[in-house]
Amino acid sequence: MLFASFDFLLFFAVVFAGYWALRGQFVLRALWVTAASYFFYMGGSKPVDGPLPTPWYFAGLLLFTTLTSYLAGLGIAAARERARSRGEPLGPEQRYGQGWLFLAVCVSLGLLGYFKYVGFLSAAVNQGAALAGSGPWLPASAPLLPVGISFYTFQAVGYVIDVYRGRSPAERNPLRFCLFLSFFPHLVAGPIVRASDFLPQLDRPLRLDRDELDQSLFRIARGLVKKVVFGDFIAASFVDRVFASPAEYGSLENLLALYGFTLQIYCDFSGYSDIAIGVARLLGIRFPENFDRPYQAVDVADFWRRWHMTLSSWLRDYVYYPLGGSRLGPGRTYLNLWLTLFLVGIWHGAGWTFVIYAVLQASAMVFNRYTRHDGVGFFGRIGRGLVSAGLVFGLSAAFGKLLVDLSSPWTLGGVGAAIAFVLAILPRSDAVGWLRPLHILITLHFSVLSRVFFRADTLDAAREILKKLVTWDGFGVRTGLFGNEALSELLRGSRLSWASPVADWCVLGLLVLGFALHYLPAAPFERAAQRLTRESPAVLVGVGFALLFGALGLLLAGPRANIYFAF
Amino acid sequence: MTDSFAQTSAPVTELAAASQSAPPQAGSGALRRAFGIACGVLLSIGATYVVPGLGALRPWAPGSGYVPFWNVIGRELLGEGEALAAEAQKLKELQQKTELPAAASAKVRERSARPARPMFPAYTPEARIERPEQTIEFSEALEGYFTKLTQVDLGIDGAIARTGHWGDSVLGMDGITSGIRRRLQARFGDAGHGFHLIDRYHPSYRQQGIEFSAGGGWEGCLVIYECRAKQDRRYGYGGYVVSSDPWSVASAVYTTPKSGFGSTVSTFEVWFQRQPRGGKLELSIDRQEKVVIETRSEVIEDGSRMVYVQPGPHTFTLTAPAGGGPVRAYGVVLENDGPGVVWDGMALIGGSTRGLRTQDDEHIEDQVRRRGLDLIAFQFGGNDLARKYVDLKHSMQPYYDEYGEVIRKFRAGRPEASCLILSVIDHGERKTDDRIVTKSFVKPLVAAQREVARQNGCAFFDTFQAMGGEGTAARWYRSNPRMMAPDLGHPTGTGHEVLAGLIAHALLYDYDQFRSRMAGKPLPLPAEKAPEKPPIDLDALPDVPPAAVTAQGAAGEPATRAGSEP
Repeated sequence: MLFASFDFLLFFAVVFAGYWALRGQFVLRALWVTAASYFFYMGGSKPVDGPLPTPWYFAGLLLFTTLTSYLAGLGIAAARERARSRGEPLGPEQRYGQGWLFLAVCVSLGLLGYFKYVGFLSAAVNQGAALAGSGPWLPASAPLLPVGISFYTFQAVGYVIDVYRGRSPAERNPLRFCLFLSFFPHLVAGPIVRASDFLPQLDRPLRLDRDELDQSLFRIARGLVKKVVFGDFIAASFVDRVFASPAEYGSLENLLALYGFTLQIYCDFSGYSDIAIGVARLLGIRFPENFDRPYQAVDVADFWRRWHMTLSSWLRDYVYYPLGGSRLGPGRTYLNLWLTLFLVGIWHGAGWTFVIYAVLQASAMVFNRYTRHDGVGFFGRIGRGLVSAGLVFGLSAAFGKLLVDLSSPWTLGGVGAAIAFVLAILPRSDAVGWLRPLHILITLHFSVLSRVFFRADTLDAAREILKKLVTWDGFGVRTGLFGNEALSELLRGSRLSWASPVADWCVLGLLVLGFALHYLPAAPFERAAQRLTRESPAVLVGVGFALLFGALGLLLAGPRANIYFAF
Repeated sequence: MTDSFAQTSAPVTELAAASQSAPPQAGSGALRRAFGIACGVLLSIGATYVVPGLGALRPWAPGSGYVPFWNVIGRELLGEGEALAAEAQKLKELQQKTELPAAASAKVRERSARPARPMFPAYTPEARIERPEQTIEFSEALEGYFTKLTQVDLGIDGAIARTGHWGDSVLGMDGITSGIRRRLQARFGDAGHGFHLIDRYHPSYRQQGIEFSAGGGWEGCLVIYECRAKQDRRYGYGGYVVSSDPWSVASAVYTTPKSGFGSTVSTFEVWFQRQPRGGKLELSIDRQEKVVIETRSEVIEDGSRMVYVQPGPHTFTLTAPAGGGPVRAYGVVLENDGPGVVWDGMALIGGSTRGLRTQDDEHIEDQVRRRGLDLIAFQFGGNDLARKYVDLKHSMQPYYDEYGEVIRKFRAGRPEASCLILSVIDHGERKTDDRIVTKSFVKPLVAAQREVARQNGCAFFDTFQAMGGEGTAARWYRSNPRMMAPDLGHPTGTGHEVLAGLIAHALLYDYDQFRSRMAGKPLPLPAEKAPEKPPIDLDALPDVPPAAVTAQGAAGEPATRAGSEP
């Protein structure tokens, strides 16, 4: 189900009422909300755009993962108990129940791998076979990707590993565990919640005060505005049009669409997270934050500390640290960093575009660490700068030739090398404060440009966009590209006809406003908005919410799935 | 050393701590307030059904198609899922049916000598073409073109079947036209890419397979803007004329692919305008040989210059140097000696038949004659849909008149050429209840275009019906991969391929029928030397290095002579 839909309004009104009506009866309440969560998973809205939700019976996979993880947790706990009864030590270094861990991780990751990656892998193998002049080696396969599988799989695997490591107790109550994994606010697109954060909250007395209510509502409203106005509206009116056939648009139009997508994906996902956090708070559950103004990041590492934080921290705890983190020397640290960021990238999707995206992010992370200059003098920095420039020159030129198909890739290589050299010798933003905007600008643009591979439907489309950017055509922007026909018509037909020119440029205006809001201090706005919510009569707040949902109908043809549903 | 990646978890742990330290406090007013908010939402929703002006904000209206919790109710209980699956399957089959195999390549055809008593031989195709769901109407109007295709099919020396295909943005990116070109060249042989403008006037103007770059310095004028209405009204064969800035260098570079469709070029022809103050154009081949083309003349007239090169892939660079007079040019043609097919794509973005009328009569007549077309095809209508509320509100007569005028103008240059009108494709629009429907004027416009074809002796292909008729835009938009762009009026790359496949299939089917019924009848042959081709001007040999001069042209003539119109 999509949060920004009338369906969800109906659904949540009933669930909220039932939930609080059963506040004194944990079992009934847990049953109620678990059943509601499964209904939420199965009864998705029909999105106006993009692929349909997976059929309802895919909820069986969620149930299967739940059962496997639950039993594995119990199995591991039993193994520990047996060890205890044998008088063996039970410290953090002692591990029991490897078989259960292996089983649960294999089942969860196996399902994820099958549904998410097998189509791509078989196609890649067959492409290799075709290059070798042979017929397909593997049968073509394209399983449907169950909504939310990446999210609930990571939660399940994290739980089993925590139990195995002795950091979390095994949950013995199947209902509580089922609720943890299927709790609808985080079910389909996160945040990725840890059992150690979630389960203890079920034990606390359930209460909701007015402040909590107002803050939650504010959070939901903020998420809706982000999602509907800055995310979906910009996408539907502008970004999707350009990315549908990038070749038909000029260089500037493609670049602006990339900026548009950069804002859209942030607002889409962080808006979704805001709504999820707000909805969960209305049910007395706190979720971790998922975003912290990522486009204010000063480097790639900072970016990943601010973007989809629950995924980054998950991979840090369950991949990076087990690989050895930074404890095994510089070479191994670079490898561990690269692998972890590669997984972050490839988690987002299966396809060559995502492989390239993952490689770019992972390599940038390694570059970022290499040029941190901890204890490196001026000449050392110059040396690292030259090494980096040389490497980036070669890689950019190869990238330009092989991927973008440029007839002369050396200019691209030169530009890449120059940027790498400057970045490598540039003092860090925490050392020289006035350089902070430059660091932010460079990081933002790395993010914008790498999004080409994130958004493009195919490698050919990505190539087309990059070619447009590299061989600038100077066509400018066509009339009407930033307008919204429906809004324009609506205004023309109303008493606000004088404002119809605004509709012709509304997307560009929103784009500028969205980025401006991202860089302006948030606290004053939020305080004012929260005060307004708090001091307004309840009915008026309700009218405000209804207007937000009305905007959904006016600005868009209907609800649109979140981008991260596809991951 | 600190670990940059390790810092990621701070907000998570902080929040976990926060959640432990600040549990929700008791407050009896919270639920009452929540109830008040719910009442506010309900009242607002109710207001949209009571206050007429708020009707657009209704979350649900009868007949809107909205089904709550669609994935369970609509998809499973109401059976919409099955209908959508069937639709997706049908579109997938359509894509497969119209697909050109990735390994397809231009047919290599052996040339045959001219038969002494030319007759249509008995037709034994490698595989019969299945009858398409949508065939070409009035297909007898294509017999001239099919005759030329037969000559190509028989490998008769010098036989090239040329088509000029004009259209609006539906032909953008050379999507449909390149798709037809490749399909016909795979069947009959590749006689080259064909026509290309001197400059790209729009991002959507592109010729597939030709790597093109313009070095700037050109100022262009597209026929639909009528920017030369007060001058000579000469916009050229492709509808776009460029003038070089006399004070800066203007250039255009055309590189053919190393292999595959369009890779073999043996003639490169530049089309330009002679004029009293015209400057010089320099043409270099593979960045070595240089041919100088003089465009100065006492009177304004159209000219062209053909250069023969060794058959194969080449790079041609056209330059209008600074300091000379302005050069006005229409385009270039890349061909080989055939036998084969050439399909020129002329996408006039934003164009319509109304815009095409503004070409000077004699000029366009000369351009079409010069190109030696065997088939003249038009595919307009996308920009005429808004005329439902303007001049076509009450009668289609203005449309018949203007389209007929265009056809007559173009055919005057090649009366023997066949003519084909391809209807407007489906265009969708979103209704206020979220449904995507076919624009109401599409069907009347298709009917009007059929009538235009009938009145003017042209064949007609109902592209709208072939692609699926009513509601196609919605279905194509929903398909995966998407076949219609989000504006619901332009096909995507996949859509272009499907349309090209449908059109090529219909043409090939009718060609099959034509050949079957013509067996044993006399076959006209092309002239020994095509009369529309300029004679070779032996005195105008370019400054060509000897290496290139040594090659022999396919027709047995020296390969690197420059020809110019007298």
